[in-house]
Amino acid sequence: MSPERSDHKIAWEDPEAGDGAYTLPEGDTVVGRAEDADVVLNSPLVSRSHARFERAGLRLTLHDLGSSNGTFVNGERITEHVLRPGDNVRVGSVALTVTHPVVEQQATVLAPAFTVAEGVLTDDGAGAPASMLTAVLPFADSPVEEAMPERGVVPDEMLRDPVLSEEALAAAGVEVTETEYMALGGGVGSFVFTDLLRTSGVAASDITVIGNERVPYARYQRLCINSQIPASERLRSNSDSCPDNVWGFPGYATREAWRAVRSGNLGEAASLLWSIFGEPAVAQTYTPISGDVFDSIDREAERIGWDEMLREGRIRAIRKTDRGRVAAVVSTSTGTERRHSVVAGRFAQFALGYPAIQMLPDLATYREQTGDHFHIVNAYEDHDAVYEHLREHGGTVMIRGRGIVASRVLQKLWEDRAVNPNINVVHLHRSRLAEGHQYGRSARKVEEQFEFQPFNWPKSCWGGELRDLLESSDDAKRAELLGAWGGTTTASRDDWRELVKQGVREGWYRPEFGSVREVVPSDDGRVTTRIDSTAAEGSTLEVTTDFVIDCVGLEAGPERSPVIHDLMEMYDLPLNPLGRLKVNDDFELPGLRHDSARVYTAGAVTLGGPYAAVDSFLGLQYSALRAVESILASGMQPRGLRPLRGLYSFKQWVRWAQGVAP
Amino acid sequence: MTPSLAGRWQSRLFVLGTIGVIVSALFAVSLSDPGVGGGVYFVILFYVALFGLAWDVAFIGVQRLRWDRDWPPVFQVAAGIVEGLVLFLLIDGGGLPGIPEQGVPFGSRFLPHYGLVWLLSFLWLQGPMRVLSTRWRFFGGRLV
Repeated sequence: MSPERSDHKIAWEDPEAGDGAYTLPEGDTVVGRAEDADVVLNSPLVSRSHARFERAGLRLTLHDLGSSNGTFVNGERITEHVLRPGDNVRVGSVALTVTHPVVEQQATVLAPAFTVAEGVLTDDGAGAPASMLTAVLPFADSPVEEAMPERGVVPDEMLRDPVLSEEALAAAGVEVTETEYMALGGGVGSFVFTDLLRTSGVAASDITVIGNERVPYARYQRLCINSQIPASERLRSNSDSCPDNVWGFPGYATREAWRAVRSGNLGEAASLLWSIFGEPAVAQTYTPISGDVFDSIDREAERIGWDEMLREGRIRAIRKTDRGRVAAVVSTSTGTERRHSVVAGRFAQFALGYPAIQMLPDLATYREQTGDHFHIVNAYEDHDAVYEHLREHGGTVMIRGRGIVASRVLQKLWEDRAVNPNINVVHLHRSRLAEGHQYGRSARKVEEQFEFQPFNWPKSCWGGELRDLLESSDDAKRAELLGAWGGTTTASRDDWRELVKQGVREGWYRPEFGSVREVVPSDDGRVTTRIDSTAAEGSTLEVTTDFVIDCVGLEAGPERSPVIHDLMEMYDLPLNPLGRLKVNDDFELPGLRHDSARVYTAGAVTLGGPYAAVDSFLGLQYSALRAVESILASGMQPRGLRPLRGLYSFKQWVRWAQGVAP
Repeated sequence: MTPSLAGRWQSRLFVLGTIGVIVSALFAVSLSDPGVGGGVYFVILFYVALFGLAWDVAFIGVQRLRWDRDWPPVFQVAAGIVEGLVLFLLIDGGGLPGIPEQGVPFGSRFLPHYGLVWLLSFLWLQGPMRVLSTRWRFFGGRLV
């Protein structure tokens, strides 16, 4: 099941050469005025054999063939240049529009750590495109299961059938629990869905949450802490993105301001309110404190009875049943034995989070070959030892990637420099970032090789014109739009911007440009990165550092999740052009629709569908809202569920404000 | 806020039809001038709505120049001031049907009425609106 990929294409509109378009095949394509050129551009300033596009998989390189009038990328004359989405290409006088396959730039960043908003980043760890990645960093919550006695196992042959027989389950002695609504996953996605159901009138006894951690944000919090966002740091999320409050009112900024007022800190309160009043135009964008968000989820979890609904366990499979329902096969460890059981209901949503985080392939190769997991780390795994070592001994760190995690890691290193000033940073970029992404008549700002955007998508992807546009577009157009809006960005935080400038000024921070050829151990026990430099043509740069931190956060596809992989195989679920699960506009998987059952999903596994910011708090709320609206519209008389609007919504909001159960 | 054009129109008509009507009624009852009558506040409200539909088209144009396609509250304030001033100049210039010949005094009548309608609408749209409609903020400010 390989996802469809759009191709590399070039197109031109020129008064002399005329209009045209060409799909670049694998290998070489010569552009020139000569009739035997692959692409003929009949313009006097184009040489007979002017330039050559070289496509190798997802990598597209442009070579000048000694033309008289030059080949230009982003206004600079080049002899050879690896093209990136957004590059402006000109051959002689003819401007070419180069379209890249979206998969290449959609190496999604593991952003649960930041998000609401995090999301898709362009891989710019100066490495290979995502499709070539093999190494997978499993999440800490997928430990190897201990061997212990198994009870009530659902026989394998029953699971090989796409329709599970409930009668046969009973006959096999498997415990089957009935419920109305199932939230599978037990993370933030499940929490938001459950919260909406409860707020919309559903009783806690009609909902079963299945997850293997007691706290819904456990995994998210771990990723935050690993990527250097402790409870006191701020997430890259919006004030109104409140997983504890479906209305997003009052937002985190208002709550924080209110707290400041109560502690007599009026200046701080005013500054917080000014942020949300002027952001991002005249004020720096507000982002909530990580600890505040988790505390608010704790309070809401208690209010809606999370513990009562949660059934701790590992989901092993999801199946349709012969009684027209959907079932989750679950195993729960009691410490001495593993009990298997089945939960069956009519409405299910699974939100299983990021299937895995991947390391850049050259770094993965290094780790595999050397077994050294100390000098090369992924920003999303626990790597505090790196900072400890640096504080004590000093050293040089190479950062790969230029997204929000890179910014945060850089801040951490800057903080550690106060303890030990002998810490230096080399920031490796694949190429110089001359200008930011453009879309329509707007563009993103670039400074010191960082591209800025408050969140990981343009803000109106959450609920404005761009959301409307994406939903109304077809698959191919969606992939194209996501390519235009995505890319690696970081937040334009004054402190981050200042510390980079300071680092450049003081010489402890240095950017380098090029594609990594290989990463090898150095003779003195450190790590050498060999880079094909883009600054000096044809030269190889060797940079030896004490550590390499992979901040790219490449995210693996849905097939990396055993449960989803099994679902895909069993029901032949279609994928979208980005290789994620194809959902309808209500986040339902139509392939799992059953007599009287509906299955929805949410999160990163749906990227490439109707919504861009799928892995953000607000995006999860949006998915939940669509799913619940769809359940209401199903005509299946969902138990207890009411439309959350008007006076009923107001009444529920008052209950939220009072902290009483919905 | 990241409104769409349809969302701007719908939200505008909604707040003017609710908050605007209530505020205008209060003004009509309490600040009715002899020979003019309280109805003038409703005429002004009507023009805020009518011209606003055109203003919204212009504002969406501005929004499209912004990468995020958003509309920070500070822009909403600026828009409210510009809209109000232009409307007052049109009223003052005379010729708008339904407006008394002598015009409407700016400081004692127009500003308090327009200002209060605008302020309450603004505050309402910054949050409480979402309590009545959970969809509103995800659909560019549309209600239907």
